Amino acid sequence: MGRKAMNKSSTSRRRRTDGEQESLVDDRFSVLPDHIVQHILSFLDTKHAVLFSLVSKKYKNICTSYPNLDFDDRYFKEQDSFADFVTQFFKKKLDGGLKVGRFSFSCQRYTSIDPARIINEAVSRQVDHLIVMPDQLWYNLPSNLLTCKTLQTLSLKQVELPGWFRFTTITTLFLTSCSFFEGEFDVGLRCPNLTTLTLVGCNFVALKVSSGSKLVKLSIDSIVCEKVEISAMELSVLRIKQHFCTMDFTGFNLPSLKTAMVDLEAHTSDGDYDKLHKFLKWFGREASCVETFPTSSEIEAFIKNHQSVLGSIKDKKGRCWQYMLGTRKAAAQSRFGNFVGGVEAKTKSTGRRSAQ
Amino acid sequence: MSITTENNEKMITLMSSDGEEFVVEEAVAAQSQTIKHLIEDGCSTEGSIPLPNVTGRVLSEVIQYCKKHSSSDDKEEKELEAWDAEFVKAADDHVALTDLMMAANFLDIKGLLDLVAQTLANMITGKSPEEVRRMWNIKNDFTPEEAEKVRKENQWAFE
Repeated sequence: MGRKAMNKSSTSRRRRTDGEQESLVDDRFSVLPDHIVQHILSFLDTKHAVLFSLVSKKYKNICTSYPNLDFDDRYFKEQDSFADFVTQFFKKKLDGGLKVGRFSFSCQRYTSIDPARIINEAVSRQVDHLIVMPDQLWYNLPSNLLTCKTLQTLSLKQVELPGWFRFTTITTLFLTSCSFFEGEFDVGLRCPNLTTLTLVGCNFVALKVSSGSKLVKLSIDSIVCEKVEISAMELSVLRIKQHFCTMDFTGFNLPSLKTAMVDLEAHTSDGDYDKLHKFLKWFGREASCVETFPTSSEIEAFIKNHQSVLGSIKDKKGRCWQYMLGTRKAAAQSRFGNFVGGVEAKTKSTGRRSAQ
Repeated sequence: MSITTENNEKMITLMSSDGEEFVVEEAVAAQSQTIKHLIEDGCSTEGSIPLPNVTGRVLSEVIQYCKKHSSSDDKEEKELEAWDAEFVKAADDHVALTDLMMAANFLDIKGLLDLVAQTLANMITGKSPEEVRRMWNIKNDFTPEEAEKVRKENQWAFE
C-alpha cells in the first residue's frame, strides 16, 4: 500500500479562525475555473442557479446559460410565486433555441402552470432527459412530444398515456400513477429500445414484455393490472412489490434473470396463497438470487408453514431460499422502500449532469 | 517503476506535488483518465508518475475513492451511495471539497467530479445570495446601485 504520511497541518486544511485565514478561504473558492463552477451549477435546481448568479459579478458572468433546468415547487413558499418564477424565467433567462440536457418539472401542490407547456418548451430545446411530475392535476400529453428525437429518459406522473404513445429513442422510462387503457401495454412495441422500466401505482389493462424487448431492469410497484406477461430475453433484474391476488402473472421466460426481489403483501384467502406459492416456486427455479420481504405476519406465518416445501426449492446456484423474517423484516422493508424512493433519487443523481 | 504483486496485480507509483509517493494497483489508478493516458504513453515504466497539481493529502483521499469504486462492480448501489456520502462528509468543509474538486478535474475522474459538484450544490441550495457570500466569504463586488438594480430585475427569483 501507499507510503503515506497524512499531513494534517497542510495549508489547505486551515479553518477560518482569523482575518488572514478567511481571505485564504475566499481564494480557495474563487480559484475554481469557470467550467467547474458551471458544472456545480448544473446540479442546482433552477431557482438556486438564478440566485447563485447574483452572488457577485464574476458568477453573474459565468452563469449565463442553463444546461439543465429543474423547476421544483418545494423551494417556494407560495404556489403563485412558483408559477411566477417559471413564467419569468422563460421570458427573461431562456434565450432562443439553446439546447437543454435535463428538463425537470416537479410540483407537489396545485399549480396554474400547464405541464403541457413545460413539455412543449422541453421539446423545442431537444431535451434528452425529461421529468414531468405534477401531483395535483391530470393533463393531456401533447403529441409533439413524439417529435423529440433526442429523448432518452422519460419520467411521467399522473397522465393517461394516449394511443400514439410510442418512443423509439428512449431507454429509460419511469411511470408513476399513469394509466393506459388502449389495449395491452406492450413494452417492446411502445418503446422498442427500452432497457429500464419502473412502474409505480399505474393502472393498465394488461402489461406485456415480449421476447423482442431489450428490457434489462423491470420494477413493478403496486400496479393495478389484470394480466402481466413477462418473457424478456435480456431481463436481469426484476423487482416486484405487489398484491398478487389482483393479478395474473403468466408466460414467464427470463433466461438472463440474475436478481429477483419480491416484496409480498397481505393475502387473505387460500386461493391467493396458492397463486403466491406457484409464483414463488417459479421464481425459485428461474432466478439465481431471490429475496423475499414478507410485510405482514400473515405472510410470515405462511412462509413458516411452508418451509418444508419452499425450503426444498433451490436456485440455479444450488442455494436454498433465504427469507428475511422477524427482526430483519423492518430492515428489508426499509431497503425496499429505499429502492422505490431511490428510483427518483437516482434519476436526479445520474441525470443532473451538465449537458456540455 | 512497475511492480507486480503476488496476486499478479500490476502496481504503479504516483508522486504528489509535495513529494509523497503512493503505490497503487494500476486498475485503481486508471480510473483517472489522466493517469490512464499517462500509463498508455509509457510514463509508468520509468519511476513514479508525477502529479504536480495534487498534494499528498488530497491524493490519498482520491486514491481511497478510486479503490472503493474499482472493487465494487458487484456491490449494491445503495452501499456505494452510502459510502460516497460518508466520503464527502469526511472531507469536512468546502475548502477540502474544492481541493478535491480541482484534483478530480485535473485527474479527470468523472464520478468524483460529479459527487463533489453535487455536494457543493447541496450546500448552496436553500440559501440566498447573501448567505452564499457569507458561507464562502465571497466578495460582493456589485456597487450599491448595481446591487439594487440586479435585485429589482430578479425579484421574482427571491420569493
